[in-house]
Amino acid sequence: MAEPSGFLYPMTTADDGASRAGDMGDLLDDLAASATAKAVESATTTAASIADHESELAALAAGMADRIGAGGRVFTCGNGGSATDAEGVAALFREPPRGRPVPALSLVSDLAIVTALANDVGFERVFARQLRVHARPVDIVMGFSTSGNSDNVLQALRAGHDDGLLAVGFAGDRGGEMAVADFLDTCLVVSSTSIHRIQEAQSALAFDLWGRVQDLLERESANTVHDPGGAA
Amino acid sequence: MVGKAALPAVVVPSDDPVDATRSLVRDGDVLLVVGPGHEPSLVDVCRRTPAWGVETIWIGAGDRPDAALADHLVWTDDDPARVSVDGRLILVYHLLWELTQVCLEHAGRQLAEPEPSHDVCITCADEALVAEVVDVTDGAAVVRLQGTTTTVDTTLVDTPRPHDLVLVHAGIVLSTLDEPVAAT
Repeated sequence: MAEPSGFLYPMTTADDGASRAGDMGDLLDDLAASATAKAVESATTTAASIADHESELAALAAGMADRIGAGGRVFTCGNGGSATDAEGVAALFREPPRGRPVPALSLVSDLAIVTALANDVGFERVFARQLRVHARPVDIVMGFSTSGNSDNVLQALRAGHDDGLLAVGFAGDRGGEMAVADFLDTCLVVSSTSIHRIQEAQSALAFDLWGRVQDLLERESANTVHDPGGAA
Repeated sequence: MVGKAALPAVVVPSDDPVDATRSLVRDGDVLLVVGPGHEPSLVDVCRRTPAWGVETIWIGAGDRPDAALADHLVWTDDDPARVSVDGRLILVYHLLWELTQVCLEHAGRQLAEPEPSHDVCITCADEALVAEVVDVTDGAAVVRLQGTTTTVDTTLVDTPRPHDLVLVHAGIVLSTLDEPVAAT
């Protein structure tokens, strides 16, 4: 990352002063207390993120269900742990625990393509270039970045928006560049400064979104026979 | 992460986890398993870890694996289809990393290894150990046993094949372990 991002990594600092003088038993106690506190913080952050974005999630799910009903696919991208999360979300849509499987592809999965584009074109274009090749206007792109500033994710979302896709950004802290981008249909910001708590809440947001989309798809299947000629 | 100790960690390719893990791990490594308790390839990896000298932590949800397969189970009985994608399993490995960093920052006050209770002589106590066959010669085999490589006698059993798991007692192979049975 080109910018100072130390503020995103505070997760262990709170433990330093309190336990340094203690003995081994105290350290074990500290670890247990720390794990509990972090788990509570994760659950609180997750619940607040979903509650804070209730209206955006409902509107976004409706837009996604419309596109998926018209043959739309889901593309996901992110870097590092967010790449893992992007793969998980694509797999959730593609191989769901219930409901309709939705065609979904993670843009981080093909190592040959990612390294080829990084080497030949530039790392900031590794996702956008893939999207430009694969995507159609009816599709959806979801980009994950804990800072909201990952250049290659922003470029993918911009390319998607320019090509007519529904562009969805997942960010953290105060949203970074994603929060002010004019090329996002929806930006979901997890209000936390911990990378890990942001990633956990982003996965929970994506899971919540997937559930809403499935509910809408089920309702659509029950009510109508879809007209395959209606794709955008 | 910026500002934190970089730890030697690698993702095991998942298309053939047994072969990949066998090549990657060395004595003293820790294997972190994330997945269903009855996934045959994960079960097969974990039953070999004593031979490789590897400590195992298995994170998952739903049906639990046989407790003997892993040194540590971090398990929830919640719906595995949900917790594996809604961030809660992610929380578990995040916590392991964060608490590991806390321990590393307290160098010199590391937690002591539990004392191995070797009051009983393993050889005299009829205790057999799991070993993985590396190579086979006439009447003997090179095996991985508790993380080291050693030669054992195979004259009491049918000649094993490389990668077979065998039970070793006092330098002698007593039996060859069956292939794991899926979905026990």
